[in-house]
Amino acid sequence: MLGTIIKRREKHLYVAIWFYIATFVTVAMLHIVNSFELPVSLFKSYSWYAGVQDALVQWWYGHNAVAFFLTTPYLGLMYYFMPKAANRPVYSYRLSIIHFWALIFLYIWAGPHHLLYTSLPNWAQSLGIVFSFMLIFPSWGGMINGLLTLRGAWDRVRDDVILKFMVVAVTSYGMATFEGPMLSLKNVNAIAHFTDWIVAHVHVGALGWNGMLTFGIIYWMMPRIFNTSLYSKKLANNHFWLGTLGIIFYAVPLYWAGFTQSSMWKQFTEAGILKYSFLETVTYLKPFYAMRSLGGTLYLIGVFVMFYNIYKTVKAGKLVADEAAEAAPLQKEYVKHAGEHWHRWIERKPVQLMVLSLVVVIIGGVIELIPTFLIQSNVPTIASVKPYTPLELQGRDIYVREGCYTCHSQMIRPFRSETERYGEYSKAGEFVYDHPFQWGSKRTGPDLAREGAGNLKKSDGWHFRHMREPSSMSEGSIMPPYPALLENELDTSSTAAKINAMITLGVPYDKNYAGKANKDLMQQAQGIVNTLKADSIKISPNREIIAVIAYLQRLGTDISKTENTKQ
Amino acid sequence: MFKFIKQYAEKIDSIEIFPMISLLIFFLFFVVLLVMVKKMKKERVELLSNIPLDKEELSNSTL
Repeated sequence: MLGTIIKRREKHLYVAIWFYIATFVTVAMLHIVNSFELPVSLFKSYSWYAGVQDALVQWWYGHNAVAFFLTTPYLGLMYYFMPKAANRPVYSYRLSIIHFWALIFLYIWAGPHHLLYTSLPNWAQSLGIVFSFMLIFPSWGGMINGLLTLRGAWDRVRDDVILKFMVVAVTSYGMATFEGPMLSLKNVNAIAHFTDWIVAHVHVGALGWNGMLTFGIIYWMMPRIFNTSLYSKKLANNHFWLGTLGIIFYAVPLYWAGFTQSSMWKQFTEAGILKYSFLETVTYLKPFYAMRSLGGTLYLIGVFVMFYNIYKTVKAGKLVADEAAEAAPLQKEYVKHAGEHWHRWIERKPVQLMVLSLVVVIIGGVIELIPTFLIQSNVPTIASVKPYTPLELQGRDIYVREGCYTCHSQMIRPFRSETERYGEYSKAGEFVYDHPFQWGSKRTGPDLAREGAGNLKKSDGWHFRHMREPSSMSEGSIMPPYPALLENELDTSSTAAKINAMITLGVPYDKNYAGKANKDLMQQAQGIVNTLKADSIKISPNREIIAVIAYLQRLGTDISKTENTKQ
Repeated sequence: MFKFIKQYAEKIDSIEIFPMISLLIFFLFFVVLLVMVKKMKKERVELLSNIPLDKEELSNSTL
């Protein structure tokens, strides 16, 4: 892609191209850093990072994936296709220059706002908040630049369906980028985090900004590629309304659900005990989830209407495989003329632009990430926290494989409503052997950080039955059953390799432990089988469910072992 | 973990000043950027912002 840009025949790099270049380099950098893994076998590897560091790296990656995969390339598209569709130049080219540099500089720092009130060191949380908040300026600058491109053409928005799509897209961008900085304030985040509010927020961006802009561009481009006009303007209009209503029906119930659930989590009775069980807050939300799927269905129907419309358009037209176009090749030697603007040096040269954007994003990343790697005191160790037993490690890998973290968090925030419900708030030192971290970001189900300790502790039999059929133990539960865990045989041949990989990553097992690990594993499994037997459940010790039970029973027990351990 | 970075980073005297320097660099970068953008010539801005629009296109309506 850079090669194409280098070989171009237009001297100047229009601002859209800058956004593409920043996208290419940053996405590459993000994937390289985030993917430092230690392979165990062909298809299994452990994250190089553990606990807090893994959380920081993954959210540095996660947020910037949003930024540089869903935002910068789409801003490039906006800066090109809005002027095209409106037939007038962008409102302010000057503003677009500032928009570009400010956006890529600020965005790269914003990741920690996904980890507010967690065990992440406070300085990193504050850093994330400050940069996330500042992001409102370039984001809204860009949004206003996009909308004002339509100055004097607003009457055409009434008739031109492409412009309608684009206006809704840019407006959604504006709403999502206003909401983002607000959500990264700690007081708002305390309400919104772990709830459906966040899901609503990202879908306004994904369905509104990315989706609607894509549709507008497709309607603009396809007739031109096939040298015809659009098959049906009316169908496109219907698609527009299906899409817009779909977004509303999708997002509004989720906002409502988010607020509701968060308030229910935090509600105490006059006697000072929690008013609602977690399950009550879940079953209350079922109608909202139904409305949400209605919205999603409307949106999807709209997409199919578009497919049909485009299919008919393509059938009617003929592919313009090679458009007659002429452009003089670029002059080899460009003579710099006196008094030219310094920024043109960058504008002419894609490689310079690439290097400079890379420098900008690397500096942001380095300053955010390196200090936690360097400073020991950022992750205080807790003496009673011990590595997982081989069986627990295997169970943990199944937990990761099944994606339990998508609905269950393992991070108790320091609020009374959470410590009452889940126990002592989570400490950074508890996660030092977690490769990868499992803090999660959404509580469709309850937090599991202390599932094996305190009031939350359940019997092995409870876990067994709950995995086989969740609603048999918690009536109304929306968790899917996992009967396969009862059937699948645990692959113990990987135990030694896993222990060795953990030793390489700095987990303090004895040097020769790998060879002995399976013996310990079988012993612990037999113990669980015996307690299940007492509960009239018969199962052989080499099933995956046994490892999962071992892991769940381990969660949160370390810290309760020695309450007075110095932290 | 990250010993390969750590062992060098620990040897650098007064490494604490690095973040401050980078903050200053970026602050200055934006100050200079703002000034330069402000001083851009009008014709040039017009030329650049018209790159996506070619003249034949102007007569064609979108649909």
